[in-house]
This record gives sequence, structure tokens and C-alpha cells, in this order.
Amino acid sequence: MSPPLALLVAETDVPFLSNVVAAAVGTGAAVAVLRPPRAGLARMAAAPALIGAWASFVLACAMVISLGYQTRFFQQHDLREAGTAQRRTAPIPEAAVAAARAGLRSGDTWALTTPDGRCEEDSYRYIWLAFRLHPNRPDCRAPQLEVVYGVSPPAGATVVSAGAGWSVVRP
Amino acid sequence: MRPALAALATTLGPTLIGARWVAGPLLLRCSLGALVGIVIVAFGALVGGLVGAVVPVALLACLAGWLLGPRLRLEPNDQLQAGRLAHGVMCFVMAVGACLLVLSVFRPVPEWDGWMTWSLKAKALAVDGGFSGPVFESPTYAYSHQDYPPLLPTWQALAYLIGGDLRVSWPSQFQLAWLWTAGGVALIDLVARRWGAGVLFLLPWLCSPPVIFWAMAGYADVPMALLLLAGTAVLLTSSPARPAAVAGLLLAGCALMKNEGLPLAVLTAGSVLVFSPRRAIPGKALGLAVAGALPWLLFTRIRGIPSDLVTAETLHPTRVLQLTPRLGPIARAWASQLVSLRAWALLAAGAASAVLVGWRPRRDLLIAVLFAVALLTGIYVITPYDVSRQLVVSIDRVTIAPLGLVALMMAAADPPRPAVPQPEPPASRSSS
Repeated sequence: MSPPLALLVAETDVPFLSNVVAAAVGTGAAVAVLRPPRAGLARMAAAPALIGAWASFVLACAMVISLGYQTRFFQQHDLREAGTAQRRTAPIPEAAVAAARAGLRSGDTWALTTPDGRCEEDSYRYIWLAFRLHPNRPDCRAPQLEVVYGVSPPAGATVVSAGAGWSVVRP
Repeated sequence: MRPALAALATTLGPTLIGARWVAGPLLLRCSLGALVGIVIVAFGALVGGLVGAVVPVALLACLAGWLLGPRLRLEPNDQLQAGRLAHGVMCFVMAVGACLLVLSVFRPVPEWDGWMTWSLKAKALAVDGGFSGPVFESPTYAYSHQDYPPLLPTWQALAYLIGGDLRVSWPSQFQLAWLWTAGGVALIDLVARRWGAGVLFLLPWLCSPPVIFWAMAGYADVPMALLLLAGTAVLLTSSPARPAAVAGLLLAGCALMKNEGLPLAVLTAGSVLVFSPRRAIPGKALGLAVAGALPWLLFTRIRGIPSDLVTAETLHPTRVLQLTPRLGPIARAWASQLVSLRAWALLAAGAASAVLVGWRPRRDLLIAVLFAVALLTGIYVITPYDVSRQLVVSIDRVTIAPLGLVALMMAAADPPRPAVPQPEPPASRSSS
């Protein structure tokens, strides 16, 4: 079970200490900002708003810290264009994306094969790759280039580039 | 260097233009002005996309925005001042916004819909110069919800165009961090000016985990909600002496952000209109919002771009009646959001306790909230997809706009009457 202030179902865990920091900073900011206003409101009437505002300050600080850890994860995995949608591994290695880009000429089409299937059958990787390789379009019937991840390249295909667990081939 | 220029040009530029549409203190002019300017520039790019000339029409929109601003300027009531409390809250929001802006420089488009829909369309618009390319028309890209209104992509496309590199996506994150910050400050200023300490009820929404997380996820939900709330707040604080253009522009921006944006803008402005003693202002704003949404609606009808959710088949009465058992899981999903600290527990508990101690919510916004919940529940009922799966992946962000209306409703609520008469606060308080 995740701690109550682990607000992101995120790529990386956020240390408990950061929640303490968020609580301290948020509370400090709340004390500075929320000193009783002379707005004509009785303390009792203003209590729900004041308590909610204090907790909001803490939650905002916790969220900024969580996003900071998420951002650090992206940097560590060299994900500068598209993230991982709260998963802990990149859909396809950056080296494979770079190799596919290098192999694609203007107007070329591409396809993707993974252990989950071909193209839309692995919608997560397929749609992620479509964003990365745009403006080259996917065409799963007659591609000029095929990105193969986690499986062996098809027999007879020309391997353009390959790495650990991936290859870029011309059918 | 060019990505930095793209980030600054697409945020500071619209802010400078929009600031001419708002009178009053610099902070209000820049924050509310940023929202107005973003809508103007992005709408220009959208119309430009429709005629295959994104950059020229966006530049024309900038020029028109610059020239028209002083004539249609929103004049806030000078007698109402945001007090010390509001300034403190605004400082906090700007500090959080500064952190988000710094983080944005190191962030990719992190989430699913960001690369499936919004930023993919931005890339396509930047490459194709219009909406006639495959991403908007080919069945290959049907997964990207081709009929969705593209105001966010058109704004992001300008960043890709200026940045000159489709592989660099952080400027779009910078844009969203800017929008959250500007929208937050604008809302706080508008609400505090009119309803004083009620502004505190906005914080459990603005600083909630869903709003901050999805604002930085590359999705359109938070921009849509911010424009809806800002437009509504302007409507509620306007008078016959102040033109409806700013409210209309903001609501038009809401209508062009997502499919549910138009009905939400119409239902909210309609509720305000029905209960308002001065109906001309919300009526004009409502008209502007609908008129702003028309070009894209007409384009999708003329090109035959289908909607995956709202079709004759999904709306068939027999089918809808058969799907009523879905109401159970949908209600449970809504309830789960209201009790989760990661979602809306704070706002829900704050609003409920405030009502218990005597705060009286505005009727018009209460109606708008009920309409919004009914609308979104209806969409879940008719969805052609597996509703359980769709609830899991979307309920936390679909609730952002209606819960934003709840926050605004409480911020604008009448406070409990004190047992012992007290002196009047500096900011006058009243409700519909």
C-alpha cells in the first residue's frame, strides 16, 4: 500500500522524507499567508476554508516534489520528447528510436513488431512510436522500415541497425 | 536556443496581447490577460489551420487582438481590491508555478493522451500547415480522436513551428505550466476582489493533485477547466458597463479545448444567464462561445470526421436504456474520487463542512455543477467502449471541471450571518 501522500502512481517512488518536507514547507507557507483575516467572518465559519487551504498548500508542495522526481526519472532515462505514462520502463529504447529515425527517409512508412503483436496489437508502444516518428506514417501492410522489439527480426529482412533486444530492418 | 524562444514567444507574446484586454492592477492584467491572449493566438492558429495558413492567420489574430483589446477591455471594479490574504495566496501560487516552469524545461510529454492526441496533432499541424494531413483525416490515426477540438494543439503547434524541431517537446510543458500559473492567479484575483476570503475555497481545487498533475501531463482537461472557471468568474463579476468580450473569449476557449467544453460552457453560462438580473452580458458571452466553436464544428461535419462517442448509434434510445445499469459503476467511480485524498476529498469535505456551518452556495453555479455531473455521467453511459476501463483511465481528470465549478460555487457562496453584527468587510459580498 502506498503512503497517503504518494500522490502520483508514478514512474519512480518518492521518498517518505519528501512528504515531511512538503508538510513543513506547506505549513510554513500557510502560517505566513493564512493569518486570520479581518474579513468579518467568525473563526468557526472560516474554519473549513482555512483548514482546506492549509492542506492544499501541503498537497501542492507534495505534488511539486512528486513531479520533480518524475522529471528526474525522465532525465535519467534520456526521455526528452515523450514519457512513459507512469510506467517504470521506456516503451522502446531511445537508441532504437534514433536508429529508426536515421533509417527513415521523407515519406517512408514504418511498422512495429513486439512480443505483444504487430502495430496496434501493442497499442502502447505503437502509439508512442507514432508520436516519436512523426511525420513518417505507420503502414503495417507495406512498410518501408520495420522496428522490431523483443523478438527476432523476420527471416530475409535486411537489418539496418540493431541493439540489445531491438532491431530496425527493411522488409 | 530556438526552443527557449518558442516557449517564451508562445507564452509572453499572448500575455502582452491579452493584457490589453484587461484593465486594473498589473497582476490581474497579466494573469487574466494571459488566458485571453492564449485563446486569441491559438484561435488564430486554428482558423489558420482551417484555411491552410497557420502562421499568417495567427499573426493576423495577434494584430487584431492587439488593436481590439482597448475597445473591448474588461474594467474591473476599482472599488473592490484583492486584500492581503489574496496577495499571499497569489504569491504561493506563483511560487508553485515558478517551480513547475523550471521543471517543464526538463520534461517530455509525459502521458498517454499527450502523445496520442494533443501533441501529435500539434506536430501534424506544424508539419502540414493545416488540418488536411493524415493525422486529422486518415483512418490510420483514428485512435487520435480526430474530431476533438484542437485549441491546445494549435497553441502547441506554434511552439513546434518556432522551435523548429519536432523532437523537442518541452516548450509545450512550459506552455501548460504558464497556463496553470496565470489561470490560478487570475482566478484568485477575480474571486478575492469580489468575494474576499471565499478565495480560500478555490485552493483545494487549484492545488489539488489532479489539477497539478494533469496540468503537467500534456492533457487539455486543466486548460479547459481554467478557461471555464475564469470565464464564469468574469461573468459573475461583470456589469452592463463592462463588455462581455473577455468572458465570451474565455468560454470560447473552453469550448474549443475538448469535446465536452462546448456543452460545459453553454450549461454554465446558461445557468448564470437564467439566474442573472442582467441577462445581456451572459447572453452575449454565451453567443461568443458558441460562435467561436462553430468553425471547428462545421469543419468536422463538412469533412465527415466522425465522433467516436456521440453518434446516432450510441445515442439510440433503446441502447441508452439498456445501458442504464452502468449508472452503478459510474456513481461508485464519482464517489471514489470524492473520498480520495489524491483527488477531491479535501474539496468535498471543505464544501460539505462549510455548508453545515452555514455557507450558502450560489444557485446558478449549483445548477451548473449538477448539469456538468449529469453531462459527464451521460457520456460514460453512452460510451461505446468498456465503461469500467474508461472510468479507470479518465475519471480523475474528467472530474476536474465539475469540481472546479464546485470550488467556484463555494468561493462565491454567501458566508454565515454572524450572531453579533460585525463591521462590513472591505470587499462587498453578494450572491445571485
